[in-house]
Amino acid sequence: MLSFENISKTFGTKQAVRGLNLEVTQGQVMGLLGPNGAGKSTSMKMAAGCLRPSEGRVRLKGIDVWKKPIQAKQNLGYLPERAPLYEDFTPVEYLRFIAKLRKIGSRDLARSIDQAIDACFLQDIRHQLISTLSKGYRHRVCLAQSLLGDPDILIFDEPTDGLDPNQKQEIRDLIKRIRKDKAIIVSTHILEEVEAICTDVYIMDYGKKVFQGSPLDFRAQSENRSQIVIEFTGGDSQRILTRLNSAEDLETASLDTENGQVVVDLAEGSQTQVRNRILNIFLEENASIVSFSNRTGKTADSFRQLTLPGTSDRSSKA
Amino acid sequence: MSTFFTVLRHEFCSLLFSPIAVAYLTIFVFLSALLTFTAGNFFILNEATLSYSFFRWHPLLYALLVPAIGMRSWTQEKSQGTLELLFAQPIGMSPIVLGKYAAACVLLLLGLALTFPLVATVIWLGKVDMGELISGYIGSALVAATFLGISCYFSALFRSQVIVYLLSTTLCVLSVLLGSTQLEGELVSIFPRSRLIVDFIGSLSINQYYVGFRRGLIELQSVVYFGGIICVSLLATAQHLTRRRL
Repeated sequence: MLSFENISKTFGTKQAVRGLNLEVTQGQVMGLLGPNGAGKSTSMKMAAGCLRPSEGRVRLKGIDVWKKPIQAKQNLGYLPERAPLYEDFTPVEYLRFIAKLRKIGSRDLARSIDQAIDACFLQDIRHQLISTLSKGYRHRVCLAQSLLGDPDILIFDEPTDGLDPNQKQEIRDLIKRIRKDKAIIVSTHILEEVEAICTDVYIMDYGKKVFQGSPLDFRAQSENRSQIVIEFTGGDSQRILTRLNSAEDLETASLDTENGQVVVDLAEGSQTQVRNRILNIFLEENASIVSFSNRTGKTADSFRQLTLPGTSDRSSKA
Repeated sequence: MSTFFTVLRHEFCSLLFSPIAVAYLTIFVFLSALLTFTAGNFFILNEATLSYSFFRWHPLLYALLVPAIGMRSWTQEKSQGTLELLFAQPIGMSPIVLGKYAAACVLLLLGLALTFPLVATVIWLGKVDMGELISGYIGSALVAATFLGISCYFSALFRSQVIVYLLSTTLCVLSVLLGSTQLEGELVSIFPRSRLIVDFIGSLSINQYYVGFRRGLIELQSVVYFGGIICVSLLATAQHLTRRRL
């Protein structure tokens, strides 16, 4: 539905995006992540036809955005960064203007506007001047315009920027509701959003891909992935360690003497039975377990590892 | 075509209820009437005509006031971020540029229309040459539209409304002053041996092409002059905005 084909963008001597190849299909919600200045917004602007690529092309439903811009953009709904609005108008007037630019016929105009207003919970403020609305409402008004005409491709640049937790959840719920038959690309700094709504993750840094995969694969990049921490008393700690290190489905076991804990790294794909095996080892060695907790990898850790300066293998990870 | 009218309607509504439009209309109508009856010597002339006392001041008034309308046309879109939103819609650049320009032109025509009390006064006082009156209004509208085109182009170039206003006003005022006899005298003293340069600079003056309209003449040369500047300004505006995306 949406494809970036070897996209690059240069501003003067600075290469903002390099060799971006990405495809988003129907039903996918692609989370586009990266540090500030990574090239996310630039990539989204190129997809929306606001910025011309220096190389490569963007296709929306197979149509080149720059060769046939009007046809291509018929399938597109775009929420720009900072949610631009016309302050002198009400949400209804603003949506009517955008709907007419999208050439939504007069028969469908009212219904389309009502649907967008209902989807973004704007019923109470539909006739209120945009300049008097709160940040959250303003953001939702701009989100509503991107839904007009029920486009098949949606590009959201930081859709929850500046919203309170309740509003963020409303937006995420909306994206989950509509994603079934759309191709959606969402740029965000909020890593919990990635796990909440995205089916796939694409991370950029310095204009290049550093990771592409599922949110689970993304989390698995963390050094702290799939660990179990066991706090215990009694028993022979060295014997326990030896037995853990030789057990199946365990990568390593190490002793944190300061905290009286054993940290066990599970192998990839390890099953639930391995936890029983670990418990049995402690019981057989007459150790008393004080606490037994899972430490799954943190997305923030994964993000840091992939995008910190000096990180090895920065060219690509998949 | 529907996009053009959509943009025109939207832009006109935005303009009409803005403080700038109210200020422009009030100041233009007030100053044009004031100048007519004071510096224009309307009663001293003792003629049922607006050619000398009324239309004479319009180029200078427009040079000072029209850039205030044109300066916001693109700078506001850039500062609001709505330019990017417009680029993402399935529409071409031409209807947007033309629609915004046409909306501002409608406002300027509204200002002209609000001077009807002066027309009514002159008709009541004596026998008016209607041809001269109509051509005067056409010429005045063309001057306003020309200055609007210039200020819209500067608005596309710069982000600051102040800079747009200053540059547009300077260019527009210069184009009015270039045709004045005092300036011509100064130019002759600067270029004593080159009448060609003096004549060329004088030919850039907007008054040279406007004066015919005031006398009841609609000359093709003048229409082409004004139309040419308007077309070049709008084309340059569209071109610049398209290049912004490259």
